[in-house]
Amino acid sequence: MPNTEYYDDKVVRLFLLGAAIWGIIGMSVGVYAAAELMWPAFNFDIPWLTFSRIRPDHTFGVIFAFGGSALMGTCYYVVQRTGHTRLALPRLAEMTFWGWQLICVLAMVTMPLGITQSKEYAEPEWFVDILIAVVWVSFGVVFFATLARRRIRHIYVANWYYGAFIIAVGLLHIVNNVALPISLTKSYPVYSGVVDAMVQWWYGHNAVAFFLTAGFLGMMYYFVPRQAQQPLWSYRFSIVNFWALISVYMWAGSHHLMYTALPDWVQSVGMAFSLILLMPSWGSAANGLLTFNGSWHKLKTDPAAKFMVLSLVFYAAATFEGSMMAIKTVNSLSHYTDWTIAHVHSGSIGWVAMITIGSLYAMAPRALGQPAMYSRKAMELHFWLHITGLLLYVGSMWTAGVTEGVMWRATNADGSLTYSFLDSLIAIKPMYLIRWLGGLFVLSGMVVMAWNLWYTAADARARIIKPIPVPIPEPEPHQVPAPLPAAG
Amino acid sequence: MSEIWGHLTGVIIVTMMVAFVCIWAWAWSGYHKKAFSRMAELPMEDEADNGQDTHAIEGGKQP
Repeated sequence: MPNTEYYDDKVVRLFLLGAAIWGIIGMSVGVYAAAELMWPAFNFDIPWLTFSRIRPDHTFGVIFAFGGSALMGTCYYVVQRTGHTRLALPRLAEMTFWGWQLICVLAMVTMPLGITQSKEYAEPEWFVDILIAVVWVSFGVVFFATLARRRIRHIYVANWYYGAFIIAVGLLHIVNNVALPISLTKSYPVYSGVVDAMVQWWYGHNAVAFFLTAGFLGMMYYFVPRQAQQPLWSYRFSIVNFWALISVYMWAGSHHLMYTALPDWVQSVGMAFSLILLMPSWGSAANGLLTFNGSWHKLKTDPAAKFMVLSLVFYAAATFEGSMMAIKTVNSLSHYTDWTIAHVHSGSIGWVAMITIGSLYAMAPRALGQPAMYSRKAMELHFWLHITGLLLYVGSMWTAGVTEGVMWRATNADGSLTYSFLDSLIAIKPMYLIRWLGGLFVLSGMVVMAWNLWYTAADARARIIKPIPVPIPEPEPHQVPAPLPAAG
Repeated sequence: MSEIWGHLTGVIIVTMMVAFVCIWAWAWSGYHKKAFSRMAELPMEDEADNGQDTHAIEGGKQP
């Protein structure tokens, strides 16, 4: 069987570039927003520069632009390698890249101008939403068409997670954004009142579940064994965890609406499912960490492995914290305080960003035709900048959150509040300074990564990269799993 | 109505529990063991064939 097929890594390289740039943009906006909380004068009384307007730019920028580019790029890389096949529909795949970049630019420009649906993590207006749906469906078509061409019968577990991520995010996005446009820049959702809130948080929580968890677990299940150079600790356990995770996550969204107008039993359902969720979450974290058994020495020499191991530790920590915060009594202390911000950032800077950075460092040299990253010292520097920033950020926000929670619930003997809101704001002000500093550290790390990627991409910029052939082995008798016939 | 609802939720819970046990049984069955061990090795191929591919192309030997 002649080997004439080559992996299509062009679109992977484009998404790598996209992730590096959006990471810096998204986090710069975050650092600026943090500076505004510390020094409010930084909004200069310009409407589009106020915290409320740029905060969605930060969340959209890091989740969908940075995370989305990294997810789509690694997804295209992994589905080819684990199926021993070239990407199906390469033109459509490239269209998903340009389409996604257009969406990110449109969203990031319109939101600060006040063109927003006011739904958290789903702020872009209806015309951007339609574009997202089109690009997302195309992404799914490329992914599943590539899976259909695979030469290995069993679908590798990372692809199960990527598949769930694509299907669920498409479903969530479309259902949550059903709206009636009244003009080009304004629409109203078809849901109202508490139903609207429930649909929004069913979406919002599952954006965490299927975008920030299932997608990045797909990344983890491929790049962690690859970097550890160890087979996955338990492949069958990863399958049980997959089904448990995707069936439980869907029902946990109502924990975002504790002590609201939502019926009490719905809140309890959310709390119960959030507690059960700890098991599949820790199952995946343990599976990833135990995969490093026998390769722990790599932590001394390989910064990418360090990023991955710590990301799994933070995944376990953040999911434990999340389950605890979904308990009603804990939630009564944590809700509306900076504890939520600490939780989100230990999940996003700790788990999501670190597994992404580790995977990008693992994938980039291969996709860019180099034996290794340009500078290992820069990777090492990035690791320490990131960890310092992360600890400063979550440490300060945990402190601020608990301070606020305790001060807000304190009452005098006569039942009046002990502290005014302003008292709590003054108490946590030093924490806002530390948080801004932490963000600055994380952002500096991203700049170091972009610099490193730029030099690693020297061959790609000179367009002299040799494509990597797809291994198409001679069929062996009674091979397990049975190979599919070569196509195209 | 509430009685039917009660039976329905009971049936759903039992079905979900059985499905969960079936997934464990499916994943742990000896039939899949060989394929799963092969799958668990799959990510390590990418690094391994790095040198091999470069060598094959540079030496002009297409497999």
